[in-house]
Amino acid sequence: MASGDPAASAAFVRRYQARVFGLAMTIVDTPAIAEEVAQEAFVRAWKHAAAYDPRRGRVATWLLAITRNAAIDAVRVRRDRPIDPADAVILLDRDGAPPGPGFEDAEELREALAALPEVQRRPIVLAVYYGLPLAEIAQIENVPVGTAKTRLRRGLIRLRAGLGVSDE
Amino acid sequence: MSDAPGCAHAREQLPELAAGVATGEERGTALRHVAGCPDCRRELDAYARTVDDLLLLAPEIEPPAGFESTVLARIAPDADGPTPRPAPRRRPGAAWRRWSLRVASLGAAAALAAGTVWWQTAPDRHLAQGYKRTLNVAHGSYLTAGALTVSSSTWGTGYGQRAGTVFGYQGDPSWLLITVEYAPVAGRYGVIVVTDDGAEHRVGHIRVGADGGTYGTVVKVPIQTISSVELTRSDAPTLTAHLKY
Repeated sequence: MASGDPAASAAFVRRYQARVFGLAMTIVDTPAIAEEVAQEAFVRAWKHAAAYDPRRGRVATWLLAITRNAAIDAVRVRRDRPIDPADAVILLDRDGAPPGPGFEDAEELREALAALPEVQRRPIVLAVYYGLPLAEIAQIENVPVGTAKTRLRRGLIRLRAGLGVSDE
Repeated sequence: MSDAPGCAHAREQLPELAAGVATGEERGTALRHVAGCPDCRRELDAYARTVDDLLLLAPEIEPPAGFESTVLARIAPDADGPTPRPAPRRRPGAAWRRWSLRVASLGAAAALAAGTVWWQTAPDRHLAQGYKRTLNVAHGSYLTAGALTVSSSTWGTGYGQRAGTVFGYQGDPSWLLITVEYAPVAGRYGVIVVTDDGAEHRVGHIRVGADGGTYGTVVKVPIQTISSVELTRSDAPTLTAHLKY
């Protein structure tokens, strides 16, 4: 994308725009704002393309992490809209479209996430999608911070175990 | 699994670290350990990949018509892209607009006051008006901003991560406003202004907590001569913002 080749730029945007906009919509839940967030994500990706390290993951997850950060910025500004983790959980649990070529393992992750107890899944969604600190997660979940922390930790450990990732 | 000292404690923190919810102290302690422990670093990478991959689960939704051309137009000035639109001055992005409007909520009085200025928030509907008022009343000529990022990897992960924003206002007086949303280590950071001639000017300290921090100060050097602003702490990565585009 950083090549400066217009055709390559267009192809890049076309390839990932549905993913980027979909994630932005999942987090901000307003089409106009999601569109602005998605645009901002591509612009940031363009400007920081040199920071992308292929050894650390595929370009889609890098781009989606940028999108998530831009969306979190937007959500923080809109304090009028309370965060409802149920929105995202429903989307994550739904029988959605297949993840597409090259992302088959994402379906495995979706199954692992769906298999988690809800009390572990919600803190993960709140942290990973909305970027909330533990104190806010605990407040939303109406549990002590230590409990929220334990649930998140156990959930992530189970997710990894569900994916067959070992410690070795 | 490694039995290196500190591994057990650090590994307990890795899921929170990867999810970005570890508190400042925990994050600092764990990162210091991970920086010197390849086993734990691999473990953290594995958690981080799992967390990143979770973002792939959001549904794909086609954006509205015109999205692609708008994006290409926005990146074209930097990329010599395909759009025939003449390249304007750097178009402020959403984040810039948002933050610059927030800055405006400081109000003209704060901008003109001698000494330190502090961050305030205000309802969005008042912000645009406040922005104009600030520039008009303060006879300001220049408002700029730069992303604050983790600029050294000495202490482990986080390099390149967005940490906040630095705003510079050229007026009478001129000031800097620093907002930190994320720092690998919480605590007190020295604020250093680096000017074009390479000179370093210490302009105070910012306290960064688990929820970030904000610091504002009047500066004597012209804003246009500032090349970067650094937040430094002996046991943490330096956070740097470049104000020149």
